[in-house]
Amino acid sequence: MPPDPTHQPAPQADPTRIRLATLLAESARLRHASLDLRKLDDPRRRPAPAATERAGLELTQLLSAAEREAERLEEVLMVLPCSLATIRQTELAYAAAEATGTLTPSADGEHPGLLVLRFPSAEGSEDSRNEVHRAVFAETDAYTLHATAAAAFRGDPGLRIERLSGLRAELLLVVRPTPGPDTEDLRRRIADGEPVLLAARAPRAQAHRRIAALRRLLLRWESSQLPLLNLFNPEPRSWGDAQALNVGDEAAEWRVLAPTETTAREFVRKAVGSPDFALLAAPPGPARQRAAAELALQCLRRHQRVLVAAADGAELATLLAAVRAQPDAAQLAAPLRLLAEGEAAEPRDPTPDFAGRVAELQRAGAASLKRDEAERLALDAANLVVGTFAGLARHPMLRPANLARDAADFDQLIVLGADRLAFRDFLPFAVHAAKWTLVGAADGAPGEPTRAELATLAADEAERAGRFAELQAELAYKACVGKDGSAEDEDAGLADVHGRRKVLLVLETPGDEARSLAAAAQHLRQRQLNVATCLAADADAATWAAPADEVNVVATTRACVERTDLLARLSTDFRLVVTDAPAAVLAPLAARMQAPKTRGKAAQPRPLITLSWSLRAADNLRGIHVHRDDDGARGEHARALLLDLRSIFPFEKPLWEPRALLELKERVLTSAFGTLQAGVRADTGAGRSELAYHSGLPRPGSLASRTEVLR
Amino acid sequence: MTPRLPTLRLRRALTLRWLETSACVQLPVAHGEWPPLLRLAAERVRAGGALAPEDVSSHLHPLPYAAAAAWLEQGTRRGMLLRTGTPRNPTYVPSPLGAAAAKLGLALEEKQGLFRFAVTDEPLLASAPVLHVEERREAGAGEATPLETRLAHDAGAFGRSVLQPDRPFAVTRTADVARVLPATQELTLELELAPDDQGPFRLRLFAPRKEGKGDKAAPGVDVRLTSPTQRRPDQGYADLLALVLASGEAPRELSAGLSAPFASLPTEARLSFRLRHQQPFSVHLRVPGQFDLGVFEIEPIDVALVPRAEDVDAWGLWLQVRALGGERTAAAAAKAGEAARQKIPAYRPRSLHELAAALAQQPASGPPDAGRAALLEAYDLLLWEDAP
Repeated sequence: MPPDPTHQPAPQADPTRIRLATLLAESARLRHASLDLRKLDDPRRRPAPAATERAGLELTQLLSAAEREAERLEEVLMVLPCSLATIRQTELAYAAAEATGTLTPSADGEHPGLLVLRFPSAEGSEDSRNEVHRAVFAETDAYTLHATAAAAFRGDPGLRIERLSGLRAELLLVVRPTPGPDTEDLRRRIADGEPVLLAARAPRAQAHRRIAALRRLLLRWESSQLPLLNLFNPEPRSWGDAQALNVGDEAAEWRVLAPTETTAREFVRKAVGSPDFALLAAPPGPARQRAAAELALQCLRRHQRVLVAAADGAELATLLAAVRAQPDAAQLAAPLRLLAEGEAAEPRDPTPDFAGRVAELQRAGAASLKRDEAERLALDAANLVVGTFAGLARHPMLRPANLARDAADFDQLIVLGADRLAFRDFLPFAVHAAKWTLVGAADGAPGEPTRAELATLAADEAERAGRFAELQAELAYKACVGKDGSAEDEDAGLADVHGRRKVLLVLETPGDEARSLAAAAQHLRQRQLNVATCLAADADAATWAAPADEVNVVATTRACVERTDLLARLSTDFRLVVTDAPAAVLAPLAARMQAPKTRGKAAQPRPLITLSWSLRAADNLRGIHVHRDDDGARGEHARALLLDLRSIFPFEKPLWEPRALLELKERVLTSAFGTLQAGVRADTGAGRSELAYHSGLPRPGSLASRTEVLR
Repeated sequence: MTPRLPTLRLRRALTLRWLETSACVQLPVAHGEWPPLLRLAAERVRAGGALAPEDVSSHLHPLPYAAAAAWLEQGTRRGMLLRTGTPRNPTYVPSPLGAAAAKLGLALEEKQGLFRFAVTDEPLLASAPVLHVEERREAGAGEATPLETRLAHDAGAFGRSVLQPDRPFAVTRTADVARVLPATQELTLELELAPDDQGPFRLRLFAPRKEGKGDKAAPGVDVRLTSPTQRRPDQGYADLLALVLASGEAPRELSAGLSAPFASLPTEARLSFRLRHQQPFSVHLRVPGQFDLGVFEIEPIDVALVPRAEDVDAWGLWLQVRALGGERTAAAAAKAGEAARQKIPAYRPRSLHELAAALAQQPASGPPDAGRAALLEAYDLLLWEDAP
């Protein structure tokens, strides 16, 4: 494999930092081990210094990948179809906004000048919901509405709207449109309930949080972050055995767990006793909520500060209810909940939320406080800070402006549903805590990245390797000759007498358009196809409505179809479209396909058949990841992935090695829980095996001293 | 009359070395939510109590008990408060560093990272050798060698930066290796001993300014530091002055004590009532078994002289005779007597006849009887409290 030009050498760790961390870790170990002095001199429990060159190298690579991703996001626009909400939804959204004080209550429940938007296409799938959450409940609150996807992607002025509030669970958005003379038509369309397209800048805060966490680990790590660094250290012996803690007087000290819940109790012993991390494999349900509540209470009893992150807000509410049910809860626990944008707390949950506590501190009290002071005070005066993953991201320490500040000193991070949190998104939370306890199901998968995002990441990797145009062209070739691996009957009727289908190739070209198009056309011509290329300058030609019969592939670029009316005129023979651009871009062609001219007969639907290399790669990568324990299904996806990476003519020649994609899979798809079970590092070796070699975790014996399985 | 004794200024050079290592340092930050709490805690301590979580709720912020307790606990983590009371009913008092920060309206935060320390081997600053600390982002060049100097403060102790006197800090932990920066800095340490000083003494540090750089008129660094050298509580200015005077290096008139005989006082001192010594000299201030302040250079000394009652006559007589000059008239004697009385109010001016008789009694020359003619005795200088 050629050396990566963007590769940077890992910075040398400062020896004074290593020595200080070692001394502090030894002090912490002695304090910890004093629980059982017999185990003090056990060499197996003595961890070795963790900061190594290999760990630094690993982190450097992750950091440069994260920086690339953030850089790419600078230009990304997310376009989502939306429409006016129903009356019921509107009332609901207004009521929620009035309850939080965002809107002044009105007598008739009306708010003239405001709109409530819904995202009907996202209601069905979790992936689409996540996409909407990412786009509209992010750090930016200004969007534009457009009539067409092309206008949205082009970044036309459109109707500017500002988010006032929203309901995350119901996917409703209360917005205030900025009046403008040119948008009357669009406003009428919205009022008529027609779908419009919302364009939003891709959120970048999350990417910046990842970068900040990696930089912190690489350059400014503290002794409390040694275990986290150790995860990147390939030497498994650097972990000592954890020591399960005897909780004390069994009858008096256990708060939630009954004596029969032996596994859960053992987990709590391990989690309290472990110097670094503990895992509980458990499906969602009351059993794991009780175990987590017990752990939180045991930590609070030891004057520790606990941060609880959960995939599901309801699970948090249960945990808080269990804590509140304790007789000494008023003395022991000072909870504070961070709510995500558009997230509503349970109606009967008395846990103060962050924004409310800050407002109260500023309003009442003898000492007047500025906002940042009140925020710090609210967080300092809480020993149990809880939130969903999106909610905790609003912690002031995770705001972009504060990312370079010192870490917040939580003693324990408990992640409920750690199988649904990607490891790279776990790091920004984990750097603020000395220990982490992950509770998750063994077979879960993180909701992020979404399918579209993963596809973009895969495309980005291909582009970086300089193979993207060829890969798209090769897929067009496979589609043309009917060997694209899709369902046999789907495009069976399209083939001509030579068994060739007419294909429209809409190239996604992040770089030089003409060069990519030329490379793709060259690739196809080498395979003896007739290719007609169309750049923006050629789009006006009348021939596109009826191209010559022998043309197999019309190759164009995304920019061309966005900026011209090519798709409104192109022959509808080109139903098979190979593109990595979003489907919305093809809407003009799709609309013509769906309304064929028929006389007196019911029209047969003739939908577009779209093939996308990056979406296929994304689906296969996710398939390999999800079916990691099922050899058969995983093999299917691996074969499909490899098929898309090789040229089938004139002989099966690999166009691109899968290594970068498999590394991408390891980097973005593995959950925090999966990572701590299996390791962070992925080394696919020089071959193209998709097997990942993991290290960086304790040896099995040491791992067992930190893990418990609850069935 | 009490003699007005000199303010001694003792000077010596001081070398500042720079060390760079990773450390945990409690540093002041401008977080406005903490000072009111620290002031409240200080009030409670003055009233003989300690701060309880309930006080926060009732006097400062609308927080429930557990939230207030969590906040106070954060104060102990950051070195501002100390926990007292029982585990069930904890109470809190400000730590010495917390109190110092509160006086400046600041809060504290513990930072773990790379720091540069300005340290000195000056024995006067033996227990507070860190004169300045600054955070660094990137490690400097050079090998890390074992750290010889102890940089961490003892529990409860803290330091102040000589460059930023309003930034107290406490070093809680350092690595056991450090990089020694090649550049050192020469400073001048000045110990000022005023007659009413009983310690702690005032130390000033001067950084000599380079020619052509900065504003030359700007004053040097002026810091008051507490001398950590162990002294007996009753040892004050007088002991140190006595040591200075007893030094072999001291000029003769000083080493004989400021109780030099009137006859040996130079004419200038007799006229101006000031004893000036223009040349600086070196003194080793050391009392075996008690303290060793090391060698100092003493600045020119200027002592105001005040005649004792029994010496008033001799001095006044000398002044009157000198004022009389060669004139031998009763009016001139009266005028000269008045001039002498102006300088020594207790002196009774003599008539011309009495002057003549007095002068006739004095020996023409030669050393006077030391016990008799001394104008100033040691106990006048308050060298010993139980002076006769």
